[in-house]
Amino acid sequence: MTLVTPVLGVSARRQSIDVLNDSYIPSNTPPGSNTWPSANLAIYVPLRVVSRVVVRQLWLAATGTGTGNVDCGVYNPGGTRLVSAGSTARVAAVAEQVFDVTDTTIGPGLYYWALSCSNNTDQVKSLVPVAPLPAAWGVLSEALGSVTLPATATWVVDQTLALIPVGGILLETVTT
Amino acid sequence: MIYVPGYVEPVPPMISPYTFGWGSAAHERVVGSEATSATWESASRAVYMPIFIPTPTILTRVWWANGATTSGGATIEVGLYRDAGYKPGAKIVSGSATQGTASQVQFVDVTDTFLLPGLYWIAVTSSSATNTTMFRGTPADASLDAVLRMQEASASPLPATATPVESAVTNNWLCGFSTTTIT
Repeated sequence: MTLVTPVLGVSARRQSIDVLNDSYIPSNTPPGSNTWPSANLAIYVPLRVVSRVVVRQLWLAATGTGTGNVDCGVYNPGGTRLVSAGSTARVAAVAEQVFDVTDTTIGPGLYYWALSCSNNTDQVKSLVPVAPLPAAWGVLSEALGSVTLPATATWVVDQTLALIPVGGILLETVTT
Repeated sequence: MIYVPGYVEPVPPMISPYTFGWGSAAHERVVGSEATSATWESASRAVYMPIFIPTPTILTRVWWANGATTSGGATIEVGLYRDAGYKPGAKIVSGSATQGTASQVQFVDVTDTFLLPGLYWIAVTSSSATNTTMFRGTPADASLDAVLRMQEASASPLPATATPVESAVTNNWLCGFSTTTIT
C-alpha cells in the first residue's frame, strides 16, 4: 500500500504560514511590542503546514526599537535547520521585516519557525502569555552563543519563557 | 494506491483542550481570556474534557500546568479515555506524580500509546484541593459548560472506567499529553 500526497491541485490556503494563524497558541489577546527576553536566545514556535509548499521568504513583525541583529529560520521536528536567513541587521520600524532565503520545499507536517535576537533591548511584535503557557503551547527555546541559528537545534522546554514572537513563512515573494 | 485527502493535519507537540481544532476550549468565543492559576476545585474530583484527534498520533507523556501554589503536595493524575457514546468510557493510559514546581509544566512519562483518529477525553484529578493550584481557563459565559467538560466524584486515582456526570463548573484545566520527549 502506498500513500501519496499531496493530491494534485492542493495548495496552501494563504500566502503566509505564521504564528498568528498556524501555530497552536490560543488567540485571546492581540500582539504588542515587547522586549526580547535575553541576548542570543532562539525561540522556536511550532507551525502546522497542511500541504506541500515552497518557502520563499521568512518574516518577522518588527517594531521601531531595533539596533541588533536577528536570524530567522525553519526547522523540522527533529531539530534540523532547513533554511535560514543568517545574521541580519534588524529593521527599526513598525513593519514586516522580510528575509529572502533559498527556495525550500516543505510539508505537509509540523515545522518550527525560529527567531533569535542578538540583544535583550530590541522589541518585536509578540504575544506575552505568562509562563509556563508558552511551554504548554509547545514553544521551545535555546540559549545560543551567537545570534546565528544552529544547524541542529538543542532546544528545551523553557518553563520561564513568557514571549512568543510574531512572524512566519512567505510562500511568494513580496516587495517591501 | 490510496490517495490521502488534500490537507494533512500535522500532529502538534503538545495537545490539550486548548489545541486549535482538537480541543473544545481553543476558540476565544468559548474561553475568552488567557488561562490563569486557580485552586483545584474539589479533592478527588475528576474532570473530563473532550479532545478530537483527527490524525494518527503517538502519545508519549501526559502533562499539566502547575499554578502559583503547589505546597499541598497533592497527587495529580492526567489520563486519556476512550469515548463511549459522547461520554468518557474506558481509560487508555494515565500518569501521576506529586505536584512539583510552581508555574511549570509538569510531565509524566507513560507507555507510548498509538491513537487512531476519533473522539477521546482528557481526564485530570487531584488528591487534594488544599494549596493545590493549576492553570485553567473559564468560558466567556457559564452557559457554555456543556461544550467543555464532564466530571466525577471520588475519582483519585482515575478509574478504569469513567462514570461521568454533567458539570456546572466552569474550569477548563490546562493539561493533556505530549507527542515528543523534549525536556
